[in-house]
Amino acid sequence: MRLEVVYAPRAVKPSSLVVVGFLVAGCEARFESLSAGSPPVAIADAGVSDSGMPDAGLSDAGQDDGGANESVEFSQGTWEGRSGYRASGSVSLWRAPDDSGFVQFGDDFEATSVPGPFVVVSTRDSLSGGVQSNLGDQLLGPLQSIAGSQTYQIPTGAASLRYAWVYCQPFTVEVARAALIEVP
Amino acid sequence: MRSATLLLIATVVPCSVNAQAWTRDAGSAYVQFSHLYLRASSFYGPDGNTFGLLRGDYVQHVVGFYGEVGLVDRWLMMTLEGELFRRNILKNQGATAGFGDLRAGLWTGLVEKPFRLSAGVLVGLPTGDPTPTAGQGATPEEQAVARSLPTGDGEVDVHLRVAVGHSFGGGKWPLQHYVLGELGYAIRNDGLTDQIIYRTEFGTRVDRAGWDRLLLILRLSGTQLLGDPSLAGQTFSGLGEFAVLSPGAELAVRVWDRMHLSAGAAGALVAKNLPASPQFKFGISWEY
Repeated sequence: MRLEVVYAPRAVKPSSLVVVGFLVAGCEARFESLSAGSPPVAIADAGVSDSGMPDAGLSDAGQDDGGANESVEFSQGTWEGRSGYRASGSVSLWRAPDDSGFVQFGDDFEATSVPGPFVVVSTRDSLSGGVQSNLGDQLLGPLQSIAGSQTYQIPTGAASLRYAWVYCQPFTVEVARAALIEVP
Repeated sequence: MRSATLLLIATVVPCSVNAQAWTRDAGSAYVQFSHLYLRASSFYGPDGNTFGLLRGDYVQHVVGFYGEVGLVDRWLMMTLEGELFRRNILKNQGATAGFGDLRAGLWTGLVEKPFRLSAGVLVGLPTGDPTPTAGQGATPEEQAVARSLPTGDGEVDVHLRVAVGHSFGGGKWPLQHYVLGELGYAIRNDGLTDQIIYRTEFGTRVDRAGWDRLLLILRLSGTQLLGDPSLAGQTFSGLGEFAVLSPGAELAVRVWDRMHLSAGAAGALVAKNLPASPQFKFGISWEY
């Protein structure tokens, strides 16, 4: 069966095609918060600044600052990847007499870059169900860097913490975990 | 047979968005606008396992555009495609919206008989926003949500592609068909892993008046990473590092002269760093 050509091409200038390549590269996206009515997961209030960075002074980690907050290294751990992600390096937990403290990532720390990473410490070995403070989870703040040394304040309960996490908060995914073993 | 092929192409091409195996004559053009939608309660991680979203579903709306115009009969065709609007939503957390990425290409028809063979070079343009922000005064959580919902991948990439196609059927056979195969290599930047991209497609139309308005398309497409995805930057919105083997189907209907409407869906047999949900597509197209 011979079929006739239905469409005869018309003269069309290429410029008549909608060309949007002239748009300025990198058009900024607009953000809209949808968290109204949903209880936010509180970041542990331990001297974290508005930018999410721990307060200054942590560079003196472990040193005597006059006796008020002398911290000692309480436990150590090694990062391992979770959920198919990669992580490596060391982490240590320092505890003050008042059971506050801080978590110190080693210079050798590195992890897969994911969206919205946060640092979490907990008594649990899994963050199933998400970060839940009533189960001993403490959300310490946004991950400062996917590699290298960094420090996060712990407001309370440092001695009971057994695990540190890198956690993708928006998508609720465990990225990295370190089991904290008490230093003899 | 050439006329039958052209007729089938005229019916088929508007519905098969990337039918570059068939290049166009100078002055001939095709344009399609589409709406893509998905809603996922879980995601494929970098190891292919799925994990659930505990704080609410992920919803994605994209208004897509595809256009092609012949510049030189058979030898040169230009394409432009992209996301005119992209809205990513994490329920109960936040959403981003904006212009997405574009991709411009040039195709040349190498072989016309006994089958179609063409080759193309496409350049991805980072017109979307790879690092959205929640603005000044936003909480760290809101900033994290914004950063996790990009509208672009932020990199200029180059795709090298070859496509082959053939149409057949009709005569004593009541159906007309086409088959299409495409293979591509994506050269990526900014630490992202190069990809192998492939697609195979089979279209069928009833060769009878009235029924010939309908075209059924079955396709299998995939993207494979050439490196380890767990090392590089990850997102879950289909931008950046991902891999997929996706079957899909589409039904198109010619509603008026050169205008077509189409509806389709695609899923994933295996995937990495993608929403675990079928994606639905609705399109309208014109041919000039």
